[in-house]
Amino acid sequence: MCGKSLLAVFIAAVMVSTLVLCSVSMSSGATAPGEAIKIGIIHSLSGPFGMLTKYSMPVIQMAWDRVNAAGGLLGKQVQLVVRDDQGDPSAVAQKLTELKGEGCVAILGPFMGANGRPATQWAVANKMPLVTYASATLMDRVNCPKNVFYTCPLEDARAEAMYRGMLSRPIKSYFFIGNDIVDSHDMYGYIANKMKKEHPEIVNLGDLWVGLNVFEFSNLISTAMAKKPDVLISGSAGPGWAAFAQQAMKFNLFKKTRVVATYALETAVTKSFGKNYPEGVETTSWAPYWDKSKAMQDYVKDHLKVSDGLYPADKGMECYLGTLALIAGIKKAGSVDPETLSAAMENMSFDTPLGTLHFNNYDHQLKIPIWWSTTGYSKDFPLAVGVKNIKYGDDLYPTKEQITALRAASR
Amino acid sequence: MAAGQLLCQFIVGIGGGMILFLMAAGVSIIVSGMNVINFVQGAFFMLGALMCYSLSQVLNFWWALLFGPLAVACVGLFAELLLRPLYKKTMLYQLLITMGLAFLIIDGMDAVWGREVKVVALPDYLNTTTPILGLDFPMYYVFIIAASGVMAAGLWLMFEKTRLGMIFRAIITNRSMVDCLGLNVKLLFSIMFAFGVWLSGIAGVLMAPIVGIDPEGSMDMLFSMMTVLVIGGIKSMKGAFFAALIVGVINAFGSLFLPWFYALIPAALMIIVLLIRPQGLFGKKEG
Repeated sequence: MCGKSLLAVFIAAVMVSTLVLCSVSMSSGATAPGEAIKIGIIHSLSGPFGMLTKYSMPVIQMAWDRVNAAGGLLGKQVQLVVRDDQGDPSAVAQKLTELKGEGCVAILGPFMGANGRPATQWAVANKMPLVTYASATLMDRVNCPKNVFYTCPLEDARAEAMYRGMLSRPIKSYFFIGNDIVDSHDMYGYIANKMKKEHPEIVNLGDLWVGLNVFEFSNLISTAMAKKPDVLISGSAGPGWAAFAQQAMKFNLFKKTRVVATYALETAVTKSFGKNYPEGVETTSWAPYWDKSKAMQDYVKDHLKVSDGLYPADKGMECYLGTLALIAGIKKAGSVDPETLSAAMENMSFDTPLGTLHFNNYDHQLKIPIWWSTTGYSKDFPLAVGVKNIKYGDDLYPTKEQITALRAASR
Repeated sequence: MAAGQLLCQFIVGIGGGMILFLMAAGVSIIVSGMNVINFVQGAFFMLGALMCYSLSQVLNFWWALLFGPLAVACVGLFAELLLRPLYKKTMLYQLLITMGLAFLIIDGMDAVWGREVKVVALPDYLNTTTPILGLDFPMYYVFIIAASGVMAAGLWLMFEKTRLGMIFRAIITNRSMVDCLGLNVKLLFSIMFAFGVWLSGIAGVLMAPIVGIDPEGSMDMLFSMMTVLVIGGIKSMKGAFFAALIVGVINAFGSLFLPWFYALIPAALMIIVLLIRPQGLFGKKEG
């Protein structure tokens, strides 16, 4: 055979073997007998909220380690395969495809709200069971995919909790400052629209936005104080909220104006302030580690142990709930077949640090209770906690009739 | 709107503007003297903030203000060694290499300090408010304006009244002539670069107690610096000063009167200046 022919045969052989290897790696993920069950985790290990990894990954790992220590699932050990989406929505599909290629039978994640939609779209297209803790709005539930389940409190439910919390005292006006991210816009939109409809006498004095990585709020705080609202709503979280709080304290804002926020008791932030965190801020929370229930206190002890002394955070709780949901679902289904698993998780109840929680079959939303808490200090904890708490439950979430009506209207 | 509130807004704007000036002045010195557009300056600003965080934990804020910028300047000196091949290269090379170095420093900061939220404690007498026309105004912002004002005055004195400033001005005007006069231009470049970085370091330290310290925010800082330089004139220190104050004050009042447009104000100002006077308000036409 001449050199050119040999080269052609060689190239053809390489192409064919590459295609074969690709098709094997992209297969549906069924594992050979005796192999581990692979669970894919897509997480924001880096990027804007990478700092929350140490509040979430340890408890996810802890839950699966316990499963493996008890003999695994369906007679097999569970292996976690993790991919970092870097907080970038455009990277989600590729990372999920990699997880599928690794043989994962179900996916946990993603972490950030903006990454939830591409993940859901991918899961629907690839028929992969997905338990996500990315925040989402009511409209994301309208065409609720069969194989997607949500363990982050619905945006609208969180906004509803904030709305009720704001109205727990009489107010005449409000003002909003936030970072320009999806979650903040959704929250503000919900509150502003509902306030206009139900309480038109309460004046919306306006809203100001800064970019995600912009942490200079002094102009905005000064503007807000000039408007003299009864309530200032902060739509920042994580580093943005920390910057806002630091600057606001310089203006004595928390002593002069009632401030409500989301994730203001996120321990990643409160920890860095130590004993100097602003008191009196009202906020939502679903990881109330100051709650005295046995389930919560057991979770706190575990969390402190696996995360080197860190107290639980809201986002970490969402991840832990997602993990517990998937474990309970596989046990209930007795299978990792996507359809069987999805069917098993609908209407499923399971025990969590927040009590027994359940998914509804009409929206696949885990009905997570939300606490409306006021920041302060307790002698039992080294960092700020919720000193006054109101617990809201299932009635925060839309009813079946509301979801059905929305679904009908969208068709 | 009460006069006190307008004055408060004005002072906040001046404070923000003065910090912008410190950041932009550093870039302006480096561009004017060395013809290098230093895209690492945003990273140096953030490095200054991180130095302040670390030093104030071990010592206190005042020592952090003294040593933090010096530490950043040392890093700047090392960076200048890496950038020396760029002096005769085109702007594209400078852009690529300085951006690459910026990302390297940002990743380095991430690796060393991590992504946790960082809070810098201030002495109690700076962590209070002072009454201005019946309104409580943050004492720390008054301090920022005073400190930045002193820095600006010091810069003017240095450039106009000292031998080093005279040499800097000579390099800016005619580098080759300075070389011909037997002065060590390479050493002077290093000093100039470190000085420019030192200014950014000071800005970082001053802002650390109020801004969110996050390495990923370095590029946003860089954009703010570049906006000021484009408006004022890239090689003009006077331009950087006035442009920074203009941007700071317009931003402050923009948040009050044009909230729907607030995020776009700096870019809009830049576009307007580019259309009307592309060399900047105080810049000189080249060529």
